[in-house]
Amino acid sequence: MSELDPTAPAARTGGRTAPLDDEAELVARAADGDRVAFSRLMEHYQSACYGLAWRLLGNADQAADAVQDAFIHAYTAIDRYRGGIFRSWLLRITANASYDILRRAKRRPSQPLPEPDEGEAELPDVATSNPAAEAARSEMYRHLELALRQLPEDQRTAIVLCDVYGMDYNEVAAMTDAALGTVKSRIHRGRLRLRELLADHRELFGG
Amino acid sequence: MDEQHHPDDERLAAFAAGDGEAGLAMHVDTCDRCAALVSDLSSLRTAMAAMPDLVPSRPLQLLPPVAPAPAPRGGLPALVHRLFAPAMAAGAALVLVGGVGMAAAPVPAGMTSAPADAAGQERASAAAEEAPGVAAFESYSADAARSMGTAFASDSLTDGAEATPLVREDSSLDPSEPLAVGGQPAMPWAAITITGAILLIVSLVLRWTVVPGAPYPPTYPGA
Repeated sequence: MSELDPTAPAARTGGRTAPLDDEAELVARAADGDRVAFSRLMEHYQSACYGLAWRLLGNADQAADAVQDAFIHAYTAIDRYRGGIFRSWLLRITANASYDILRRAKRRPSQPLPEPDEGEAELPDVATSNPAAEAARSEMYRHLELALRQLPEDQRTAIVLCDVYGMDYNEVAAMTDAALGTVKSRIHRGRLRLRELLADHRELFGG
Repeated sequence: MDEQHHPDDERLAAFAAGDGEAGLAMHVDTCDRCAALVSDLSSLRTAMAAMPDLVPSRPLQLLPPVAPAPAPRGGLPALVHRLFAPAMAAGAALVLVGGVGMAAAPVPAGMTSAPADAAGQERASAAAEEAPGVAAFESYSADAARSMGTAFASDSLTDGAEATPLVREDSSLDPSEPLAVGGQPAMPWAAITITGAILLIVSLVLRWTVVPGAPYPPTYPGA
């Protein structure tokens, strides 16, 4: 599957980042200016933020820059955080930072839009009791990442925000400055396109 | 169902996402092609919702690169902090003035050749009685001048006159007082310089002991 390698420049984690046990307390302390608490939160969620940025931008360096921008913005805005799921709040900031980078790239035609990174794929280093199932899942994610990279940018952005990171249509519309109907259309067409792209690997998805 | 009667795929996608028309349900239930499409889209959404996070390609800085604002200080540290710069400036100015003064000070004008007349000799003798140390120096100077002979006698310093000992312009002064310069008391250039240096040193010591500076390079918790 060497043709799939360019889609995975970063190692996958074992899954989604779960909330911290003492997250509410850490958030409260961070809002009061506790830098240790803030850095713990960022350390915990950096993989989630980076994953979102990378899937939106398709470039490791730009993704890291977007996450750094998001952390700075979160640091200045955390005192205005008004509850809710902290991970979602941080991911929205990261998505905005990533989308800002995309917009800047569009405004400067001399700078090409980010291309998918090249490099060796790195298998997730996760101990599992079922290596065969884990390998199949890893293979499925690789195909999925590659298929996402092949979507038009507007569809990819909407799909990633909505389907991968669970934002609702209104959030995606606000973030991408698009009408609600446009966002829905992009998502539906994007899913259909993904299905076409993954038609040869339907067995991996249980289809 | 005939293929040309299949609903548009985008409508089916909306249906699969749960925001399509309810009227499509009956068709999807009876159409293998459309049911497969809806099933595939559902599986796809499930798979995407479970996509794992990614490890950053490089270490990320978890905190903005700004040093925390120094906490407000009070009491002696605040006073020292406030006075540090003016004290340093004053000390540097004193050292500069004193140094320039010492470097530019002329040979004391009061150190003149004593008159060779008898009155002058008497004043010299009187001064010798009051200040034996000065008299001994003057005697040595005179002996040295005489030993140099005529060659030294024509030296510009003595302007052809016989070398004579240096004496105080006004021998009535207390020998413990500073030497007169042009008739004025000598400026205490050395004292000014030393005062400035002390001010500089004390300022620095107080600044670094009472008001310790921020660590360099700055460290951030958790970074």
